[in-house]
Amino acid sequence: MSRRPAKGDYIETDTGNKVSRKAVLVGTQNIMLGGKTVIQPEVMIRGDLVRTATAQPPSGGSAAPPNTTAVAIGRYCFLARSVLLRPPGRIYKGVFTYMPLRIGDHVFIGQGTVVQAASIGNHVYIGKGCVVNEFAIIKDYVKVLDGTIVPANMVIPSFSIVAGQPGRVVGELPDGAHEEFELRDLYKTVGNNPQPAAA
Amino acid sequence: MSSKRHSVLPAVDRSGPKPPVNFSTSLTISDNAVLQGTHSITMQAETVVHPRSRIESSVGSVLVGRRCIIQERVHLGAASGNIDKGTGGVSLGDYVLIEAGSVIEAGGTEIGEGSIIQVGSKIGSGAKIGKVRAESYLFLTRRS
Repeated sequence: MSRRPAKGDYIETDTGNKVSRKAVLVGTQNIMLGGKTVIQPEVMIRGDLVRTATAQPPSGGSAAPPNTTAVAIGRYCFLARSVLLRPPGRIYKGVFTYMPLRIGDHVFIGQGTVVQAASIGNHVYIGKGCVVNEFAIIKDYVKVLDGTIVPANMVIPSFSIVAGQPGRVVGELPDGAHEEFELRDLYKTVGNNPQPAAA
Repeated sequence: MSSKRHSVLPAVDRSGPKPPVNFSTSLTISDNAVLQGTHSITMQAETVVHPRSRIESSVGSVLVGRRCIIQERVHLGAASGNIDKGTGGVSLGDYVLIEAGSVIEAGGTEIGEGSIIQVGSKIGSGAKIGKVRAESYLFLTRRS
């Protein structure tokens, strides 16, 4: 059936996602990719860690299928080599449950970083070797420098620069720094037919 | 659109000797976990082992207590770079949580009851952590 017998290193989907064949996606039915997202080799996404405690359905509303999205990723995200995405888990109403991990658009996650956040906004840059611990919330336009350990439950406001172990806000993004977060060009440089980076 | 793409996990590397294991019947272990080595691996009741974790008993035996959680990419019983460090394996007490990507070296390493080893930690050979002994040696470093 396949018109292209030659296999590339990446699987390119209809919506433009580029997923490495060497990435480990567990529980793929619970992983949502918004499109144009790059997943590099050795990335691991734990889609099997889904919400186990079901929210109480409103009275009358019955048989609605439970929302089992474990990891939702927006458009133009870039997951570098050996990133681990892991939905955060906690005790909710007496039972342990995992909660969904939501990632916005234009999010770069550097090599070897482990993300267990509750949500990451749009246009976020996370460096390499970072750990974003459970239920952290990162808003839009945030830069997390290399090697940062973001503590559990931390909320990082927009336009912050975060660094350190434990991570804390060390600065604010200047006005002109927004173009740096544009990942469309980076998207084009990987895949089965990579194009050279724009000069 | 007619052909459905099959979603398969890349195969894990299962080379090396198969260790003798002593598992509890209430153990939850992923079929993507890697077990290798020559000494025995013991896991007690209601312990959970996540995919892609690696448990190695080539240096010494591995003992995992009750209700432990070993998350993905953990390397339990790694060979120490320093050969003349102590002999023996790794022993985890009960209720120990080893978070993703941690490396626990073998060589008489003991982790006491209820300890949490957070993401990406490295526990050196011969370390004694938590409620193990009066004298505790800690070699806690971020991954190098």
